[in-house]
Parts: sequence; C-alpha cells; structure tokens
Amino acid sequence: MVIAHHKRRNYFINKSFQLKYTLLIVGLLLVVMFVTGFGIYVGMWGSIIENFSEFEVSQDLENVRRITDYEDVRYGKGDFRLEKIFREAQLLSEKERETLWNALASVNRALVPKVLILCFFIFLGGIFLSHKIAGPMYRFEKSAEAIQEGDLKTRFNLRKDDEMKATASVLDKMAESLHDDMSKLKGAVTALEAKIGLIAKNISKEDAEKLKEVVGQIDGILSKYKT
Amino acid sequence: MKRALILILSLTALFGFTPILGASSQDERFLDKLQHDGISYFVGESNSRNGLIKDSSRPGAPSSIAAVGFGLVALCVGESRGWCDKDDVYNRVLGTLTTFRDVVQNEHGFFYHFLNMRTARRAWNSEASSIDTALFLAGALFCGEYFKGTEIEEVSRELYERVDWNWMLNEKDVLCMGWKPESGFLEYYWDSYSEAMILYALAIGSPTHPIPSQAWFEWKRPVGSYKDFELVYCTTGSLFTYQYAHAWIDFRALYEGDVNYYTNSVKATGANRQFCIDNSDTYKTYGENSWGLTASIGPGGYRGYGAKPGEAINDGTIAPCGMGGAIAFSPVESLKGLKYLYSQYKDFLYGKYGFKDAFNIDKGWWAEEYLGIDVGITVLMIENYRSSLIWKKFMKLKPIRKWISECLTESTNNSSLPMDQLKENK
Repeated sequence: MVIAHHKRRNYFINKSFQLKYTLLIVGLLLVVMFVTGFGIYVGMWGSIIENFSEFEVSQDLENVRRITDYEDVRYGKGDFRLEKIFREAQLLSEKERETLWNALASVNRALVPKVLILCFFIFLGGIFLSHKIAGPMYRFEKSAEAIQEGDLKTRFNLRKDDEMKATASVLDKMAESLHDDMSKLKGAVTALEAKIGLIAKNISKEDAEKLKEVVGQIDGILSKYKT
Repeated sequence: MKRALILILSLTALFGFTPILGASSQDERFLDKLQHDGISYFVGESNSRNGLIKDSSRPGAPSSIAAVGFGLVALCVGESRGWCDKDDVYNRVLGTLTTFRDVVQNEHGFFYHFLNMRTARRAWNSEASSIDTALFLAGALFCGEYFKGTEIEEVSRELYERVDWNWMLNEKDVLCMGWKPESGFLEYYWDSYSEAMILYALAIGSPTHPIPSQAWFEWKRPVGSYKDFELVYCTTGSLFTYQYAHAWIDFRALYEGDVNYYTNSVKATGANRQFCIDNSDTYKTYGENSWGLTASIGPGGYRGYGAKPGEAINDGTIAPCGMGGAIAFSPVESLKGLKYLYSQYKDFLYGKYGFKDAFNIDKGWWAEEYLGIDVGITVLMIENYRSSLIWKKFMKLKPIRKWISECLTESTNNSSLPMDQLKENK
C-alpha cells in the first residue's frame, strides 16, 4: 500500500491561536531589538558622537600637539616638522583606537545588565505563556487516563485563560457522548437480563446458561465504566 | 570638599590676605595675591573625587603627575597661610595619595606622565616617567612631613618605598627618562645637569631600592658663561631647570666641592636676566623687568625657551613663572619684574589663577591658559622665599639626609645669600 504524502498547504490551522503567539514572539523580539539598539546607541554612538565632536577633536589635536612639544623640549629633539607630523598622527591614531575601544567597552557595560534583565523577564514570560499550553495538555492527559479507567463523568475542565478551549470542548462532547451511550448500553443489558429470566423456562437449560454467561460477560465489561 | 576650598579661598580673596612678614607691606600683599590665586588653580583645575590636577587649564587637558606634586605642596601652603581649611586639605591630600596607591597604574613604582582626569588611567600613551614621578613623590613626601604622624605620612612613605629606582637605571650609570610598555626604556637619560637633581636625591636616598651614590657624580656638569656669570648650565638654558629641584631642596648650605647649586641658580638667573636685557633691542617683550626665559607656551606651541649659557632658544616670549620661580635667587629683581608685569599687562596677562603662562608683545600674543607646573613653581618658590616652609620640612626627611651624607657636604656659612639680603633690607 502506498501512503500518499500529504502537504499542509494551509499554514493557519488555528488562525487566532497562531496569530496571537506570532504577535507575542514578534513583540518580544522588538523589545529585545529596542533594548540592544538603545544600548548600542547610548554606549557606542553616544560615545562616538561625544568623542568625535568638533570640540573634542580640536582638544585632541591640541593635546597631541602639546604632548609632542613637551617631548621635543624634554628629549631635545629638533623641530623636524615631517617627523613631528608622523608622531602626532601616530599619537592621535592611538588615541582614536583607545576611544573606540572605550566606546565598545561602554556598549558592553550598557548592554550586559539590560540583556540580563531582559533574559530574566523573557524567562518569566516563557514560563507564563508555556503554562497556558502545558496546563491544558496536562489536563487532557489526566482526563484521558480517568476515562480510560472508566470514569465517564470526567470532563476536560480548563482554566479561564487557558489555550485550547475549543479542543477541550470537543473532547468534553466526546466524553459526554460516551457516557450517554454507555448508560444506554447498561440499561439495555439490564433489560436483556430480565428478558432472559422470563424466557429461561421456554428454552433449554443449556441455552439459558449460555445466554446468562454472555450477558454476564457484557455486564462485567460495562461495570468498569462509571455512569 | 572642592566647593568648601573654593569658598574659603574666595572669602580670603574678598577680605584680604594673611600677612606674614608685615601687613603694611605692599609687596607682601602682592605676594599673598600671587600665591593665593596660584593655589586656586590646584583646587579649581582638579578632580575632587580622585585628587588629580590638570596639566593645563585648557579644556580636555590630561592630568600631569608633576602638577599633582606641586599641587599637593601648594595646598599645604594654603593651609599654612590660613586660606584653606586644615581638614579639607588633609582629606584632599590623603584622597590624592590613596588614588595613586590604589588606582593609578605604576611600573616598578613609577607613574605614567599623563593620566586621564576621570579614570586616573594612563593617558596619551605616555611614558612611566622618572622625573615626573620624582616631582610627584617630592610633593607627597613633603605632605608626609607636613602632616607628620598621620596616615598621609604612611601612604607617602609607602608610595616612595615601592619605587624601584635601580630598575630605572636600566643597567646604566645614570637614570633613564622613562619606560613605555610598548617599546621599553626610552633612549634618553638624565646624563647632564638639569632639574633631575631632585630625582637623583630621591633615588639615592631611598631606603628600599637606592641607586649607587656614584650615580650623582655620573651626570655631566658643563660649565659655561654669559657675560660675568659662569655656572654649571643646563643644555637648554631654561630657567626652570635651575628651579625645580630647589622648590624642595634647600641647597644654600650644600656644597659639591666648590660648587653650590643655590649660588649656581643665582648666577643662572642673573645670566638669564642679563640675556634678556641684552636682547631687548631685538624683542620688545624683553627688558630689565621683563625677563625669565623658561620652557613655556609660546605663539608656536610649547617651547624650551632659555638663555645663555645654553641653546638659548628664544623668540620674544616671556613666562612670568620664570621670574616667579627665581624669587629665592633674585628677590629684588623678581619682585620688581612681577610687579611690573602686573601693573603693565594685568588686563591681558593676569587672571583668576594668577599670571597666565606667557606672552609675546612682539607678536601680539597672550596665552589664555595656565600650566600647573608653572603656577606651582611660582607658589612654592615664593613660599620658600617668604618662610622657607618647604625647605625646612623637606630637608628633615631621612632620605634627603642620606643623599646629602653620601654626595654633598654641608656648611653653616650661608648668610650672604640674595634672599637674606632682601629680608635685611626690609
């Protein structure tokens, strides 16, 4: 026998349910993006904008010039302009590297605590959301076990904010139907037992015993189910 | 604390100054003003949280550890003159020293020349500097003596004793100028007469890592002359090289053979002034009351200005700190010159921290900023001239006594010195 390969073409099986969780995930991602983006802006761009402002750069240039001047005076270097320009450029590039490094460090400093706090809240949110699905699943499992053990009065009761209420409703209807059918079956077996009692003197003793045995077996099976 | 210090300094400025050598003296009031305003630099241009002091009043300038050394002493001078609260100064000094002990990076005890004002970390890839560490430590040790028996004395001693001076010798006979983590020891050494006398004194006097006393005799002592002034001179001829060690060490009674370095600085000051007078036809800035060629900012940047004997780089720029730092060597001429500059140019040259760094009339240029070390040398040398406070305290230090005993001889015959003559005239 060849089993046909079925492709699901409709991706919205439960539109409202899927849409709700899709929006929740997108919302969470947006929060994460906003927090990290804000951290990067404050930490990195904030530092860069501050450190590379016209005022700061002119201060840096003045500092570089002054420090190379100090070196020239202390070390008795002559005023070789080209060599000095190279030294100034080197000092400035080292300073800019340090500035960028500090900017990255400030990003880390700004981001790490925020991300940790965010992770904590995402963890709490995950527990809360998964509880809405894990709770019904647990309830289905326990109710199905009770039905399997014969308690046909069991219902798939869910909490007010739980997901999968529609599924629970269908299963409740199924359990109720089983309960009704089983009650009817038990009534029919009781009626059959009474009828067998009435017709027992008109049939052979052997047939009567056989009938009682079969009905007893059915009654034995039905007695497992509480109705 | 910073606000309290500024407030006290402002109030004393408003209601007058503490007279030391006679309240009626105009000169005393003028010197009070110079010192008072100079001390304000070390409060106003500092970070009260870590005690660091800016190299210059220019925005964005890093901290210079040498400026911190001068600043520590200046604060004590402010306290001794009643301009600063004793507890405030004590806390500020202790805070600064603990920053250097606990936060500032060091290499074998040597500190980096420039520090970030906020973080106190190494700035501008500067070198672990031997002379700047010595200038800082001189300030710290002075404070230890000023606040003797307190935690300041303990911390200053701890900072001094952890310096491995031998390491800075780099297996040579003279001390290296510095070391960088990226490239190791600098190629420059303190191998000739200069401000490094304070460095050698502290290195030889160290109780923990002393360098051989022979190192004192290893640096060159070039002798040169200008007009009638013959002296051991510094290559640049910059006046500050004849002043910095003298801010702490009282050389008046100390001799190295026939050489007395106090007298040597008196001659260097005289030569410097004479050089300016002789060149006053070339540069309008120079004159008998406008002299003092020393390293300072100039129209083209920071330059090692100086006079002969020496390279004598000059372009008509005068730094008032040249005369201010020379007041213990030439009291009459320095005071006359400083008063002249104040009366003639105060609108351009004098500001909230005293005289701005330099000026050049020939080029119509006036500095807008103050340099910490230039303000510092003025405050300290005026105090030495007036009360010998720094000399008296510093000369009591055991390391200094040790250095003197190993390298110099002491004489008690020092009565005919210029600063004493001036006081006698009063």
